[in-house]
Amino acid sequence: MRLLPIFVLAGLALTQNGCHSDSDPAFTPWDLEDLNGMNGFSLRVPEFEVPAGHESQNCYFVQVPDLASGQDIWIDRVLSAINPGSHHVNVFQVKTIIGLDPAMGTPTTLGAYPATVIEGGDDYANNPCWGSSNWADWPLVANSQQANIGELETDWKLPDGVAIRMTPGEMLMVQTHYVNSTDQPTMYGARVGINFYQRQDPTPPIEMGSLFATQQNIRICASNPNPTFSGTCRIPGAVTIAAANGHFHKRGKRFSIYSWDGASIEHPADAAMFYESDNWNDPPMVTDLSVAAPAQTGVWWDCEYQWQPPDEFTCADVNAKDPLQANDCCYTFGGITDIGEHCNVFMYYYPKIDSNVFCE
Amino acid sequence: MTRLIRVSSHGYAYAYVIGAALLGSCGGSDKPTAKSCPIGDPTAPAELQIVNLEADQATVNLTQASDLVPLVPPPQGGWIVLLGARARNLDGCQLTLTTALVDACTGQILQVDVRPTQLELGDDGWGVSSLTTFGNLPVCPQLTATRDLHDVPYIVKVVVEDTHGQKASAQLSIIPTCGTEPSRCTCECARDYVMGQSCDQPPIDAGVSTCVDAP
Repeated sequence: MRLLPIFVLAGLALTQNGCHSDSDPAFTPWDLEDLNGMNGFSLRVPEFEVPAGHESQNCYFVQVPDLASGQDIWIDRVLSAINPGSHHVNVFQVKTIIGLDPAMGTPTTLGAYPATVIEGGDDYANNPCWGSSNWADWPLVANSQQANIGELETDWKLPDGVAIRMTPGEMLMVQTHYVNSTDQPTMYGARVGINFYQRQDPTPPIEMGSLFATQQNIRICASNPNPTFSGTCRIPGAVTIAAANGHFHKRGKRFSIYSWDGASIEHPADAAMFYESDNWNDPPMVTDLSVAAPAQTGVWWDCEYQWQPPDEFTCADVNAKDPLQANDCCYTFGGITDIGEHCNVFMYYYPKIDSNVFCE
Repeated sequence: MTRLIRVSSHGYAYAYVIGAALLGSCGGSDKPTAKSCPIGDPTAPAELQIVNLEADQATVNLTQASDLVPLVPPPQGGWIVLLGARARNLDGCQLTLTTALVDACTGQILQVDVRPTQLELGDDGWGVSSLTTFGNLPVCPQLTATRDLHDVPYIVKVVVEDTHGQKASAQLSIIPTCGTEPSRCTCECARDYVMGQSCDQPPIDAGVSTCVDAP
């Protein structure tokens, strides 16, 4: 059930309902080079519209192309370009199929490559593209949450000698989440491009790994409007943290990530903080980190919230979604930004450890 | 303040009007503030006992040493224990609850969960965490576990601290125990379980329950 504020309609009608603003001087459409052959590969999500007052989450499945005669390929740069209105673009390696099945998708193409898509629309309650059951063992490959007019591109150059391993034929899932609301408008159409640059240096690189941590049992309630939820994640081996970003929704006020010694339940000192964001709809991705995490240590993260009423839904909608039925307009875990909340850490480290690192 | 009024659910026209009643069911303000509710004597040292929720998630148990504490499957997967506070001499509405899982063999802290809790005042003068504000302490899977995470002792630490600095802590040795979906629980709580591994087949080994050297 969608709510469309009337006062928004007039303002949005000229900018969001079929009237692209590519000619807007403040907006220059992105233009990425097309990679092929040994240079790497380019994925291009077919452009689509997001109706005003709606959100859209799509899951695209595509196989890694064979660029090296069947050998694994190494990616040392990921360049993404995303039109404004994007809430996130995540790329996962597909492992265990739980609900979200590439074979159930509709055929499409991502640039030059055949693909399938499961369009989740804003059917967060039923569509598997909105589910989180695959997070535990689908390693994150890359992500970007940056998509503002002045900064459409995220250029992630991995540290020297470090690269992401991909195997020809392995399935990737590109998940797009667009929001077309007053506080995160999709004014120029939904458009996403990703370039995966193949490492040219023939020497074997150090493999990059990823860590996905999430606090899903969160409650941001009217009667307790300033909660903070914190979690920890231990890493068994000694690693270096190279990049990180946090992810929450509209109630999110501050996201911070710290080095954690794995030995104390006291909050880490401020000096241990290596990531901070106070921007829910355009959080930065820090890519120049070099944070040493000795074996059996890890990270601590805080998600700080300020309760506020929903913009496009109502508290009745929020209450209907509350599994505990507290009738306190409690935002609980959920993908729709107006009535659900997240508290997720996306982090990249090297060398990769054997097991997928997922903490909850 | 603005009020959102649903004019039609299928004609899809909605209007914002000025008003103050949007939050009739939500507290009545855009930015409500948390209330204060002292429990006991806030000038006396804070006191704390650990409580846990049983598998029905409705029954509160005063946790004792070596208690069997049920492992509960939360929405995100895995298995958690639900720990709360029975406390007094602090502000029951402005309280942060920290729960931690500690390996009894190595002393290593495997997981920490921090969240707000609200105490409900009982007839005995103690406040107990409301059912919706228990700590969700993830127990398994644990990538860094050195032994099984079910049916063997682990230490839990609990700390409560209010916004005025009143603070108390407690710890106990408990035995996380599979009750719901025991086959999947024992599989996912085995030391050697790897995220995403199928639990359709019974585990090959008999488990690792005694203390072993950390890798």
